Amino acid sequence: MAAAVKPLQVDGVSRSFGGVQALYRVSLSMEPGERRAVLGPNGAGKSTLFHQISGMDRPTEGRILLFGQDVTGMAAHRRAALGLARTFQITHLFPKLPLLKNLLLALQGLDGMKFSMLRPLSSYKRVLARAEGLLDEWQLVDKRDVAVQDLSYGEQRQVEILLAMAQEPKLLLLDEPTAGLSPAETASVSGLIRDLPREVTILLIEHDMDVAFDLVENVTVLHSGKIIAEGSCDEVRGNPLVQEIYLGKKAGWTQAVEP
Amino acid sequence: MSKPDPFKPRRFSATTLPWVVGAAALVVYAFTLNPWVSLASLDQVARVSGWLLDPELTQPLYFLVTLPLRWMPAAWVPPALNLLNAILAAAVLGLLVLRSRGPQFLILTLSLAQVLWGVAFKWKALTGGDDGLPGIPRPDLGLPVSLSGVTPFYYFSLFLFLVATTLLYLIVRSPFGCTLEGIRENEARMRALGYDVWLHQYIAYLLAGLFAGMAGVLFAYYNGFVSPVDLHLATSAKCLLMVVLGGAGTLFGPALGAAVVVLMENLVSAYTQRWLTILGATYVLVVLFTPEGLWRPIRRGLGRWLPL
Ligand SMILES: Nc1ncnc2c1ncn2[C@@H]1O[C@H](COP(=O)(O)OP(=O)(O)OP(=O)(O)O)[C@@H](O)[C@H]1O
Ligand SMILES: [Mg+2]
Repeated sequence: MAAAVKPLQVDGVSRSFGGVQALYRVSLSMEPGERRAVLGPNGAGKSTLFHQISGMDRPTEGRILLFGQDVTGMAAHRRAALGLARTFQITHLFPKLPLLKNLLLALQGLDGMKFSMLRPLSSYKRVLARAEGLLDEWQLVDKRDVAVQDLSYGEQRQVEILLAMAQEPKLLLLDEPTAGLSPAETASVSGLIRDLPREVTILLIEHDMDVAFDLVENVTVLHSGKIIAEGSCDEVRGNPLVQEIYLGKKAGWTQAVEP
Repeated sequence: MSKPDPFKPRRFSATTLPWVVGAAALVVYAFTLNPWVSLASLDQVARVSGWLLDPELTQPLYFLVTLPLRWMPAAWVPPALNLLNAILAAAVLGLLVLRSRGPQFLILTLSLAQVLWGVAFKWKALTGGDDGLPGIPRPDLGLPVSLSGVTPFYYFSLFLFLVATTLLYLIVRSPFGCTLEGIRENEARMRALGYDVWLHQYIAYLLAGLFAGMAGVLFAYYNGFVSPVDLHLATSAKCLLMVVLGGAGTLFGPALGAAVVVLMENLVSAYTQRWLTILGATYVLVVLFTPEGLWRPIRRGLGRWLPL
């Protein structure tokens, strides 16, 4: 194949929970380096879609390909090894452990050293140096020894992304990275996302249209488990169906950022 | 033969106490590796493996295992086999119980232990049923002194206790130990980070089997006797109490908890038959008043001087 391998292909994926059809024949594909947002109101199936891609859950039908490989039945940890990282809508950190240890756990996840039993983790200078470097880069050095549950919520959301980036992923899934943040914190976290390396393909869920349009070039709109619109930011913004369904209503996801 | 009182504490003297504590702590240490790994079943596993000490039973196994074990002095073979047996049992039980999580894990483990107890109780040919298997001699490991004396056996157990403690201390600080900590804190994130959660838990379970096996073998040699009663729920509850009392999720807490429980058991039983009642009451009191266990407050106090 001449064309570059697609980092992500979702092929007719459905997922139902009893009577609830959370996803219905969703298809989506991403080019290397692309940044795309998944928009949709509460309960649209956005997080469910992420769970299918990351392997936290299995689709009832359809296929998922990562970097050209069919991973539909593959365990989550093996998908991570292929170069996939994700964050969670509800902060998923190791709350009682210090920030440094959170980061070390992220760094050793794809390293064979994680099975080592008799040497202290603190003696792995290479990994430690990388952790220190990342903390420095993300301006969190002074929080190094603080249990992450004692960090501010904004910092926790930042660490949420930091752990995923520590895996050096090729494809990054961000589930509402700015959920629950103040406008100022939202601005800082979206700045952080904007500055992530361009070669990382990013799929992100965002409630706030303005925040999303600022970060991505393409948008997929989910509604009741189905894709109802797809295209560039401008196309989607101008799509009458999207306008009718969302912009007309006082939907939670359109709340404007304070100027 | 008179029926042994199932819940009567084992014989005890001031000199043997530290080693009883040590052996119990070993079992309990296994638990600290992973909060889901209930030492209960593993302890039971170890006890079951104690039955292989029966020479008649060990003969065929001797035959099978002598080839790889030929380098080993013959007297080492039964204890080695028992350790191996404990790990194998953990390997099988692990497959069953690691499918569940949290409270279900505990209940499943305890139920399996009860099943083993039931089987052991009925299977007289193997286990001696009610009477258990008396007269298990301590092995001659080729040490300068014989282990049949109380004092040498005490130091032998103390030595193994220190070895096990050191190993666990190292494991807790290793990347593998941190991985287990991460799994305890957030399993979903660990999977997303590329960890095979099941595999790590399974390895932890095998390790727990090894340490529990060590404790079980010592326990059998110490008493010179094993009985299906050792598989009973009451034994599991006692071990759980040790963990909870000392502080689950710490390295030294369960050792402390074991010391307190064993001491209490021996003091209390000098005055009353109601040891089980006292055990239950203590459990309730601990859960109500020191849910974090005894060790953590002590550690906080010592923390200023010691890196624990
Ligand atoms: N494990 C589950 N069991 C049953 N129903 C579920 C489960 N997970 C999701 N659902 C249902 O599937 C639908 C989609 O949920 P999902 O979490 O994917 O929505 P979302 O688009 O991420 O919404 P939000 O913006 O609130 O995060 C909802 O109706 C939800 O109730
Ligand atoms: Mg969601």
